[in-house]
Amino acid sequence: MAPGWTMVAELAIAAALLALGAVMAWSSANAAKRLAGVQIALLGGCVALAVIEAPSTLMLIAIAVALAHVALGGAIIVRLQEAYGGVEAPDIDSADKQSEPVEPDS
Amino acid sequence: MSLEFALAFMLIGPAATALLVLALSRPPGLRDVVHIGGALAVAAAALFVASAAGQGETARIVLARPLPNVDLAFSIEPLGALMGALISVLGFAHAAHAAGIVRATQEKAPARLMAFLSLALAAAMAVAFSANLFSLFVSYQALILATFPLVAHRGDEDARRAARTYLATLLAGSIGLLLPALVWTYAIAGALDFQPGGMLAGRVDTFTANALLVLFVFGIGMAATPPLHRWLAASSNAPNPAVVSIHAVTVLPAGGIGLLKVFALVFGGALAEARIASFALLVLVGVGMCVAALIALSKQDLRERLSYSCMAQSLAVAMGGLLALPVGLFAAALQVVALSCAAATLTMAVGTVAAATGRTSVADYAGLGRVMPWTFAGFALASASMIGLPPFSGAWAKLWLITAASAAGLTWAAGLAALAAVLTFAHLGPLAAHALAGRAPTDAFKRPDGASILLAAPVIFSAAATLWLLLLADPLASFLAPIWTPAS
Amino acid sequence: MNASLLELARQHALLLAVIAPFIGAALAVVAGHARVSWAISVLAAICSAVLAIDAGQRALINGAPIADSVEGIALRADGVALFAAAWIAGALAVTTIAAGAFLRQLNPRVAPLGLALVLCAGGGWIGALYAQDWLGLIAAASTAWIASVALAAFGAERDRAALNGAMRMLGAGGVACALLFFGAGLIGRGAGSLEIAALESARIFAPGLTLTGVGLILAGLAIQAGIAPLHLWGGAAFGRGGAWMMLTAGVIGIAGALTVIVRVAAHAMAAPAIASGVAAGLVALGAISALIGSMQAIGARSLPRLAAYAFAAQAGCVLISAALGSQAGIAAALVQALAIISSAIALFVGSAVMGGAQSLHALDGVGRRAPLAGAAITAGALGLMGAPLTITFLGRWRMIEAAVGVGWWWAACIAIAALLAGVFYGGRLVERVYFRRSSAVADAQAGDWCAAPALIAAICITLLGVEPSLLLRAVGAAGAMIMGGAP
Repeated sequence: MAPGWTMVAELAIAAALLALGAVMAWSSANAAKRLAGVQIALLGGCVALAVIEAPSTLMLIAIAVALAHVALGGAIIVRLQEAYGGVEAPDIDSADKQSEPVEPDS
Repeated sequence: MSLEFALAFMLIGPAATALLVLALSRPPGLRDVVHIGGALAVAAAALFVASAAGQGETARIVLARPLPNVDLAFSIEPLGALMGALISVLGFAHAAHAAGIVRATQEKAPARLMAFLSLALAAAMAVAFSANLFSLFVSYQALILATFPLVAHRGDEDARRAARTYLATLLAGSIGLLLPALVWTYAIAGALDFQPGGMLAGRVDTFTANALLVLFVFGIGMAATPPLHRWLAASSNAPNPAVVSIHAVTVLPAGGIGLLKVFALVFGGALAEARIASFALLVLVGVGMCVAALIALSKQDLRERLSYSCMAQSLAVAMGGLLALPVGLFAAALQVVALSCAAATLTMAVGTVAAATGRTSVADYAGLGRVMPWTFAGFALASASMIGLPPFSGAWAKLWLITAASAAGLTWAAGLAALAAVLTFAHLGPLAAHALAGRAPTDAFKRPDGASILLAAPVIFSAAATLWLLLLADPLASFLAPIWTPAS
Repeated sequence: MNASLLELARQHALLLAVIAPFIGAALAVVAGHARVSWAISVLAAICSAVLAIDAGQRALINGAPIADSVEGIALRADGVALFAAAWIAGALAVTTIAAGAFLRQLNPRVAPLGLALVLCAGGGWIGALYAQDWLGLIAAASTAWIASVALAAFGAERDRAALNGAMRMLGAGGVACALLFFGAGLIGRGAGSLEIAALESARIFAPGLTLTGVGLILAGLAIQAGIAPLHLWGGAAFGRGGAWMMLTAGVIGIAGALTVIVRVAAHAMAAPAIASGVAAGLVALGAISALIGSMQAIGARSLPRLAAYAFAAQAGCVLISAALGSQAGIAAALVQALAIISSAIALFVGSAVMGGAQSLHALDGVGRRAPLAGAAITAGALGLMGAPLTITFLGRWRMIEAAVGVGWWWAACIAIAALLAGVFYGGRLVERVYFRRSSAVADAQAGDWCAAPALIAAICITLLGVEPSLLLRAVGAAGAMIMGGAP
């Protein structure tokens, strides 16, 4: 049951989606875009499962995990907006850096 | 008293003393009695054990088996018994001296200082009696951790920096070099138990023997082999009881004992396979002895001068062992004894002088022997021993060392040992002479009552010990012979 | 009656050990009151721990067979799962008990939810260890991870910076979940089965696909275990996540993900078609993690960050041990994973007792201010250092022994380099605890009784290091059970 060329192409698309999502999730400055990146990556995972005709249970779990990420990520983004007044990662990082406890020189 | 009990007591006794000292820190008199009494009891047990070992008795205790085929075990054999007796007897003198010093200098947290002195003594005894490389390694680590607080005792930034240097140098050496050597040895021999004649004898090829020798010699950083010697100078500004412990009673002697055990009981005949490394290390320690003695000459602070002087003497131990001859090992063992006795006397004398007069500089010592005759009599005896003047213990050690080097056909090594002795004379001889013959200072004492008996008596006691090899050199040779004689 | 019930519980030990924390979590949320929820959580965690430890003890020490469970959830008890789940469940019980130390620092209304999340994270990782197939493993690991992210966000009650850490966790973990799904799909296609244990026996007709799948799964789990350089979330999440986060993600999360990696690696290494590729990947990741983690830990300026990086370094050694593909290697990996769990508990619970000490400065003089907490932190630091007669030293020794046995001298060098680095970062902690003057800003926040779990871990670190025969027997049996005939 070696994969045919169509399947390889479909798997490549899934992998590309996953890679794109990973890059977005790890490098975007905006928290909402990061969450979108996570969703794209998970979509890539789901596509891969569909391409290789994985059991439906696995598909369902993947969808549930994606939904859980949306719900939790959405909640965190709302709280970030409330706490920092924005969801831009550089601003949040710099605000965190300013409030980092200062370690006295030893 | 059974030998096993005596052995266990020597290991646990000082640790128990440490706890008691902390628990009974007030009144100071009780604290001092507990500290000195504990050290006396351990010394008595060690002398009993040495006497039993002299009659060929042995004992072994196993505390745990933390690794397959590897015990945390301690045993009585001639070398350990000799070193245990040496360390504990000097430890007793040192305990009395420390009690005097903390009172005279009003050292802060004296109970903590004494507790760690006792813990260091326990760890040094464990090094001496370790039955295998793993126990040696564990005891060695324990000794580093027990003496670290002594170096950091004053708690100021300088003390912390010195303590970090001390810890980093010794731990880096032991984990980065000694541990790999252990693992390698275990991989070759399948066990780590010490064996007369050497556990590696007949089991290693030339490359392995050379590499292992380098790892062991540098890994045992307590022997102060350059470039892992920085801890010695870093610790010289610690409180005097800490310096005495590190330079004379526990750490430096433990380095010497560790090297001796490795040379005699791990390598044995396998040292012949490590000719290249032996030769290179001989050059290093020989030149190191002379350079250390020269650096000592340049130091005006007595504590720093003594630390480099001790380093030069300690390197002689390595030189003796590296000669790969029984006579060289005997010279190295004598050198450990001579170094400990002389260094203990000198460092305690320097502490006594500092406590009574506040003087620590070489230039300020002129004439002090006239107002502190007992202390400087001890100082002079110990200096003569360090230099190697007959009939003091250092002379026999150096004589055997030079004989062994010549017997090995390494006359240049004998020459370097002799040159180091001359340089030692240059940095200690005139100092002792000026102290005894110079004009007495008019305002010598910062305390009206001068040095107390607790400050002077231990100096005399350990100075007297520098004479003992005059009587015991021959019996010691037969006492230690089983160490380098392969078991039949 | 009681005996028959107990026997019934024993027969279904795997299932009960997994679901007890989830039932406890539900009840804790329903109870609503912080103290009551805590009591329920402790009870549930202890139930899970007793069952998991009993199952592990029966199988690994007594050699009794443990039946697989297929009641709704397919579970399978292999050697690594039995050993690791017992310790993770034990750690869950200990951390749940320790959570009582800082309940009063939290808003009483949200404390039950926090406890429920701790239990979900623990239950998730236990489930991932017992899972029979990739499906169960991924579902359980994702549950545990999402609970950990929610818990990280919980830290915002004290410090808003926790939200930043939670967001990073979500980003990293989301991608990790995607990798897990992708990997499972590829393995299913390449090996023709979704059963984890089938890897070693299946006729793998597409080795490249299967190897890629295993690699993706290992990469996903490595992200969740905080293995360098995939530990993007570690510093931020640990640094400001608060005591809850440190305890759950540090003790349960990292150890859980790490032991699941060991389990997956052990099964993959037993499949000849992909073993060498898996070993190469694990070795590369392990070596990088050990070196990068060590360097970062040396430079860290806060306790949680130092711990996170130190665990990355230790985890690197675990991966290298697992990559050896032998019973001895798996045994060494398990001992080191246990060392991480014990050190993490001692360190984090000890610091939680001090009010969740964040900066290293807050540890100054703890030895005098709170002797029990100081002793626990010291034991944790010695565990990180790999001091002789600790369980870390034992694990590292076993790793070196196993590595030298197959001629991997470089692996021995990495282990020693990691030990050497441990001296510097672990030594800093000990120095601060005992050789610095007490700082006025940090006073003990909880009673000394709260240090009890940390002291248990401290005893574990030293006792198992001094007398490890039972532990070595258990890990030996675990290695033999999962690796079969491998030497």
